Amino acid sequence: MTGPPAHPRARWRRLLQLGRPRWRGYVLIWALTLVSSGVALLQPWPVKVLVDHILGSQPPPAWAAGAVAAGPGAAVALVAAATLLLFVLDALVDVALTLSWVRVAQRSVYDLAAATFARLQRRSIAFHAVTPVGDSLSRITGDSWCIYNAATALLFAPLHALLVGGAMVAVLLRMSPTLTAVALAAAPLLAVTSVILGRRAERARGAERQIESRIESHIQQTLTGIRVVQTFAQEDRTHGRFRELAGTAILAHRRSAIVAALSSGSAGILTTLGTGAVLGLGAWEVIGGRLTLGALLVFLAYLATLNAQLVALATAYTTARGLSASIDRALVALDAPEEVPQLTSAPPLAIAPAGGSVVFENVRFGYLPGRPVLDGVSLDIPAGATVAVVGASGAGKTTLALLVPRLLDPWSGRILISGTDTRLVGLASLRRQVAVVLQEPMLLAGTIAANIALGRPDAAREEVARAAGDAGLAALLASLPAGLDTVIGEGGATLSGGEKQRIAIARALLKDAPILILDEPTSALDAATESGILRALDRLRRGRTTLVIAHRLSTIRSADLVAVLHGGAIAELGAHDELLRRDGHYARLWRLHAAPPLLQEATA
Amino acid sequence: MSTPRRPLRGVGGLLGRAARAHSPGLVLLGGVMALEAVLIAATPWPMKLLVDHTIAGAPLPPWAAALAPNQPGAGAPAGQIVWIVAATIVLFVLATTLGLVQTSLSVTLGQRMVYDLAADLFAKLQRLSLGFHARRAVGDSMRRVTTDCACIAAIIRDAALPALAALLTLVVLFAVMWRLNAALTVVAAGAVPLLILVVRRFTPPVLGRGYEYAEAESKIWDITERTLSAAPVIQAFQAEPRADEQVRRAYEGVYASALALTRVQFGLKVSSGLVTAAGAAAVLWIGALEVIAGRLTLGGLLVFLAYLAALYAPLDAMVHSAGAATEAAGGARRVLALLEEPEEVRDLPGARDLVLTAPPEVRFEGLRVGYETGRPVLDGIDLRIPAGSTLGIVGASGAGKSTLLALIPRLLDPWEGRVLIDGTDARSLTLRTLRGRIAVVLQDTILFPASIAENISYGCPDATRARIEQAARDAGAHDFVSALPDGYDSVIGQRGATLSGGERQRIAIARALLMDAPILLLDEPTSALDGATEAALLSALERLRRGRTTIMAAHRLSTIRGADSIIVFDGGRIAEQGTHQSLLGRGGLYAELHRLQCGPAPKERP
Repeated sequence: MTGPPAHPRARWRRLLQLGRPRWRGYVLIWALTLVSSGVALLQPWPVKVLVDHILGSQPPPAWAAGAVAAGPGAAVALVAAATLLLFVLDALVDVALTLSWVRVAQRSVYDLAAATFARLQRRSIAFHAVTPVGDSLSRITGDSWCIYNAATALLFAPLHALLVGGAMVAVLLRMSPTLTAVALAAAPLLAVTSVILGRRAERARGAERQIESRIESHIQQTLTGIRVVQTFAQEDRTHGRFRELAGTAILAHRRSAIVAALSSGSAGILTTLGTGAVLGLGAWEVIGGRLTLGALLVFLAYLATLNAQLVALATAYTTARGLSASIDRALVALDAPEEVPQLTSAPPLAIAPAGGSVVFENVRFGYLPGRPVLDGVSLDIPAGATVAVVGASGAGKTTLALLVPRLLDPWSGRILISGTDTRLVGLASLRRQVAVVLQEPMLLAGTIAANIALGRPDAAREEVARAAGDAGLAALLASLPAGLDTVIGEGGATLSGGEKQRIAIARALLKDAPILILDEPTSALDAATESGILRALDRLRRGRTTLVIAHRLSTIRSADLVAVLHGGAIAELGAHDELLRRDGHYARLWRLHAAPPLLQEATA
Repeated sequence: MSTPRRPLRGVGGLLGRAARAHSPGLVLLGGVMALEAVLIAATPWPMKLLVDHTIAGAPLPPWAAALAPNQPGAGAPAGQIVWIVAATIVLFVLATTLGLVQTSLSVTLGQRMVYDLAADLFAKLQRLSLGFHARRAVGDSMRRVTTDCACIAAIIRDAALPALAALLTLVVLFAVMWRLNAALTVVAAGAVPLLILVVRRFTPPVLGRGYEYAEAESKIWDITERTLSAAPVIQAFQAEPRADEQVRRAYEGVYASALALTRVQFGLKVSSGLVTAAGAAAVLWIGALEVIAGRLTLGGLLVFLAYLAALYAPLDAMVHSAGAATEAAGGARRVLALLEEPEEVRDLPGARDLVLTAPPEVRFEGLRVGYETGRPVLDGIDLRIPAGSTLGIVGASGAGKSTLLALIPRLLDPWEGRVLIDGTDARSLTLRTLRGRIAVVLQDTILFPASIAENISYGCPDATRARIEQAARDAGAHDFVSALPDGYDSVIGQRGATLSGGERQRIAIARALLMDAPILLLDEPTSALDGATEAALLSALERLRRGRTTIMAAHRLSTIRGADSIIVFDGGRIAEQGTHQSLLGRGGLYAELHRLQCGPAPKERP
């Protein structure tokens, strides 16, 4: 999934667009940030009043005069109450902020994730064939957070830092300009080191990820090749290799942790130097009577907050650096062009009651540019006829089948149903008329009934049960306590390959479409039960136009025509016996590949 | 989605073993954490000296005076300020350094624990039989090794140790406070039972909601992965809107649980914040009165206030620890489940080494075996393969050919019946010697991403280059290997060294030749190849078989024809047995198959 990199400005504009529906929420966050900055500003003041004006003998400022005049006992109580109030206020604002972040920004993330999912699941099978599911998954669940991170790192962290920092510096300047200058001297240095070490840390994390993926591929190779590893008794060697990789990984993790610790450590030391200087100089000023002790305490408290804000800013900077890659990954998935475009106002596909013919006209298609799988396929399936497609594995049989319901669109050439180019009719109406049974049954999480009713969610219970019965599921359903309502998949019932395949067949039976695509399973069905299914399939085929990728002799024999796919084109076309007599591709293919299922055939 | 009440039940042994194995590191780390607690307690003291003695002019306490006896300027305010600033900086630098040491130690220790556990799991996986691996997806096993193992560090390093350190910090802080002013300490300590109550009240819901949130998140993964993997079916049956709806609902669920989690976190945060704030306010109030009454210095009050702020951090850490431990518990249980998986195939007590001087006789007696209970793949197999002879097996894919082959090197042990090597039950032999005497060539040759020489010498890593090349020559691989830019050192899988199916198979044959094992297993060695390549490979296979007891499964009769005896598998049983000629003569399955593959047999020709 490599799209052209978005133009930087377009990228940010698109991101802004995605956040816009929740702009009110972001404004609320902004307002709350403002309040929280104000509270942070006020927090050290009660202690100042206590130290300077109640315990000390400084004349109180006008706003505190009333409290001080009330006598030491009451004044102290008031100070304590103010402290408590500020604490509570701080906690409440914090709560409101966190809640708003979840309600607004996290919601935006989920919106984006759901939209990305919606787009990805509609992409052509050509895309899914070359893109690992893991990649799509990480775009949906991981990269969607870019919108949250962008809001934090680019909008609110700088805003908060600027607000708090600006206000505090203004207050400090009024109290003592010299001390403020000393306090802030270390700040630029702190920012620079944080940024430099942040980059280092990023590189170190890259090294960590690399070694981790090497370990993963080592495990995967060992487990997929477990037959060879065990037979050749190489467990100790692979284990030794694992230990070796693990040693490297531990080093990488340690390096990364040390860089991160150095980064926070150097920030800590710079902060300490600033604090030390303020403490020393401030104490001198206090002794000289130029500064009150309470003011010094306010200074130190503000300095701690300021430094924390600087570190937060540097973290935001590091986050922002990694952000554009993540945004691009999410946006490429979200805004991918339609590979199976639908014409606006395309008419629905109309199929005569007698059934529709399916015609391939010089079709070329491939999954990778420059490497066609089908290279000029022309095939004519008359209405109501069954054509069996045979060919070596990898010849493109399944690809050919997927073109009919436009799960793929050809590079060139056309597919006509009842004489109409499938690209000129509504996609939904086209797919409604085509039922498919793929070689891999692909069941979804949910009940058996829901899986059977996949194409017709509104089907009546009896219809679902009948389809299940016709597909030979009666025995299985009888053995399950919940019957059709048995949940399958993780944590649910486990089904054998044959049982899954029968559910897929029931699914197609229930859909009852005039065009049928069958990718016959080779080994998922055992010989004893397959004949029932074959009969069900025969029933299913009656009166429908059928394209079947055939492996079984009975299927091939009962087809009206056999098409041999070879070298990306239809090499031979005719009835089974006729093709055998011709002694060409079909006859050779037959000898090499079709034999073992025949053995099943003979014993069935 | 119930909340585990005792999330760590059952994994105690796992944790105990890891803690014992790493006890020196843990003790060291605990020591560093104790030092940190002392430093936290010392941090506000320079400020106290400054306020009480330098600014207020009280004489220095004896311990402070002793620290700087006769130092220049120690008596004058200016000198004291310099010393106090220096002490502040020293304390901070010490704390930073200690933090660095602690991070480095704990990361190293944690990763060691994780990778030790991962290595144990990996070794376990390698010991588990094919039966296990057939049932379990590679991805699932991988996730346990790569992800779930992190639980050990999460529980011991990120939960148990910080909780201990937090407790230690609390004790030290209260001890110091007690010496400063007992009455005020009692006030401050009054907050602690309240805090504990708050933590006890709010921790279970926080953990429960946290667990639900994690579950909801993993549901998203599940649905998304399933839907995207089934994209062709979803699209063909036009189920996209429903999948959208499903995902939207799942996200609603995540959102709802995120909100629920945030709310219970608030409960904890607000009430513990309130208690701390009330404590601080009370200390401030009473402390100020004590200062006015002259029973406490201003600096002492500042120390108290600093400590109150510091108290909050360890308590927070304890709540966090409980959360971390709960999250990790799921991983720990998955790790444990794998570690406790019974090893179906292992050396029995008293197992003997297999000693073979000549190719052995291999016999199967009453075999019954499968991968899932109640679904035997092979059912009642009795068979004798005379020493040095070749047995061919024919049958549909899924008929059990590969399963039969897997029984000989004990990649799988039978449910019932025995495999006998020269009359000895294979289960009474050591795996190492048994497998060391067996060479295999599979249909999908598994080559590892290493050089060709390493791949050929996979079974005997210390083979000389000369022997490797000889094996390659005998397998007909020498010519194309030499033609590669790096020859035998070409790394497989890299650009320019991608091999064709026939070439890969020749490397596998060379690998088997080099092992020079008396038992040879060939599993569909030619079925991935076209006819011409097959013909060329047959002579190499012929050479390989010479002087070995060979079992060869194939569905192409041309590959199998030269075998001394041929069996036909059907429905988990032996349907026919005989030589090529006798089976043709019988006119059964084999003859039918032969007619289909090779045209009518001569004598049937009209």
